[in-house]
Amino acid sequence: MSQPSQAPAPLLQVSDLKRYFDVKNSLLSGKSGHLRAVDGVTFNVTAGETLGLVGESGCGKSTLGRVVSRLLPATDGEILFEGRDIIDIDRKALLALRADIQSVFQDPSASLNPRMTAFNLIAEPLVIQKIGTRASRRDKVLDLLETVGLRREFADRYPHEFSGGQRQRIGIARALALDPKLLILDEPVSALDVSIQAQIINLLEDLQKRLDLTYLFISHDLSVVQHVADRVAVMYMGQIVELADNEAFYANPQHPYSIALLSALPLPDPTIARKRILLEGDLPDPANLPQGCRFQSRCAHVTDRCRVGPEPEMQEISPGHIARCHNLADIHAPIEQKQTA
Amino acid sequence: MDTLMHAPKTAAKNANAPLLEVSNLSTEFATYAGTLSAVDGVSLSLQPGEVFGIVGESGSGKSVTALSIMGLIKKPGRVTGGTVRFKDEANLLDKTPAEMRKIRGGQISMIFQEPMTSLNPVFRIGWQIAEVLQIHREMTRTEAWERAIHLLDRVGIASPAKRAREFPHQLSGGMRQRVMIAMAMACAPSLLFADEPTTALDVTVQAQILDLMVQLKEEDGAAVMLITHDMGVIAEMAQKVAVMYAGVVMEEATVEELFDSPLHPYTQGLLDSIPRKKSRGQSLKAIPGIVPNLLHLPTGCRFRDRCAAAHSACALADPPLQTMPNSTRKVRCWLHHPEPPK
Repeated sequence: MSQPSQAPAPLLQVSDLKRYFDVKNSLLSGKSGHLRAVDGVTFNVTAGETLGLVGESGCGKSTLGRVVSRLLPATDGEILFEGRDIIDIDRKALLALRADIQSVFQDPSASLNPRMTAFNLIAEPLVIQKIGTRASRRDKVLDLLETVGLRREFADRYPHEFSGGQRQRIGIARALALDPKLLILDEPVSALDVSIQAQIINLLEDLQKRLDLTYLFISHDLSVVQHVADRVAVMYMGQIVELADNEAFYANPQHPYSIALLSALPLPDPTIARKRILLEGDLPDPANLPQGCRFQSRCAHVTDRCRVGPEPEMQEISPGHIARCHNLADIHAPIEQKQTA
Repeated sequence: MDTLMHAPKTAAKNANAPLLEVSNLSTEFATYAGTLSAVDGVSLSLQPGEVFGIVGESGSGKSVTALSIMGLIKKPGRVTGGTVRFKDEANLLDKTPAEMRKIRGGQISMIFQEPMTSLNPVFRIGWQIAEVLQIHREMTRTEAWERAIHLLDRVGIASPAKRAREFPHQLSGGMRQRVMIAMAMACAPSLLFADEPTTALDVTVQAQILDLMVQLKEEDGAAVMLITHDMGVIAEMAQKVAVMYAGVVMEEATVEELFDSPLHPYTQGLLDSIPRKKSRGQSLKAIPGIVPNLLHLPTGCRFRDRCAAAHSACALADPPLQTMPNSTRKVRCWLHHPEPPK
């Protein structure tokens, strides 16, 4: 974990990053606006750590992952990778960057070309980057298959011949082919059954240690993130609303949205009785956000200050623990109670 | 072996007979590669008002079990055996499709995972609810429409009279699932099948829907068969649980027994694979290997290839689902059988 005093420069520094999408509201009115999928996001990722990025569908977490890996251009803001700006770079520099930042996606059957063999899928990044000879690439691919726990004989099989867990292993091998420093893991285990999910989580943790990898782990699953992440960032409607060390976040969540998320999580223990905080209402329209705090329509602690602008700023609760809320002093998380049987 | 597979009649000594009693249900699917048993002799019984959870991974047969009970198996699938006793009906499997249609939506109803595919996109949601009432309660159009608005209100949809006139695409995922629940509860069924009812929903919306289901179940006294892969949802909702694997029930117990002391190595493996607070910094205890192909099940126990506790008996014969002494728990494993084969 990072030591704030004399820490090395973060591997990834994201400041005030924005990504807007244009939307047409209606054919008749002709009005158009912006959907602010990522709206002023700032965070660092230190080399070797896992930053968990959690949030519900539509909060912008996948868009953020895509902008950081330069699969989508940013609208505004700054991304530094190893201290270098990676937004304003030419094609050649971008190609070189691809070797350092790679992604693994949720659905391995959708992200692997069904007409390519496992061998060609894993070799493709090496071919594109013109790395090695045919023979050296062959050795590398076969080694990668073993690294992710597949047998070398599987190289000539097609994606449909693999199970879901094995396909995700191929997706990971492909992401590792260029010896990246940072992996963007976008819901890497969400499509898998729980027994297979555990295998892939173990593989990812093992690879991180062996290959000195840094992970941005995007997930909707708070239990998985609790297991894998060193620090946790919670996103809501395009913004990070809370960022903290794993222990601090799960033991002492501060933002009312984080508290509600954690209280809604069904725990695999029938003896725990909890007071669930039910969020009222649905998400606001992201193309037409309310004035003031974005969470006001669903927040149990809403005050007049939240309804009139400006939006709450990030506040520091303790070193490394920040949250975006006006009323932090008045909000306390409910405590889990073990039933006395 | 047959006698062991039937549910014990201890529950029947109580005044309340089971609401639903499934015995030896089997369903096969014909494929080009051969016939596979998706459900292979499943026996379950549900008390009135109970929440009975079926938990299992993809391909374990949990959804096919529910569809078989409801008479919704289509070709190339076929229910090949068993009986389904429901209330006074001796066997639902003997009913004609027309008779089953009278029961489904009335006394038995269901909610599925993806409300977008179960709602008709070209009809207003109010009419889709009203249709159920016109068919099963013989209400007039006007009566049924009024009642549909009342039901939408009951499942927590704001301005129900306005919402009733909307189409499914105008609603959020959580609201669509509320509409499905309103439709399922329209005729106050005594049995509700909920097949992964919250899997497609975000965790905060899932909490709302689970709460709503508990509230309506308690008001109407319906029994719920809750099918899910999520052990957390099972722990919060169910009273009894059956763990399915490759078409059979591996273990059946009360929810407290199951989470406190799982007997079957598969159940233990499932619970150990879940990331928890305690597991941080350690590897998860994953179950090695993958779910077997139902066309090529191993001989003997079907979990044997992945089981850490497998021994010689496991290859010799398929263990029966056996009731544990002095208990209502059942487990399908030679480790807990008094006379494993030698």
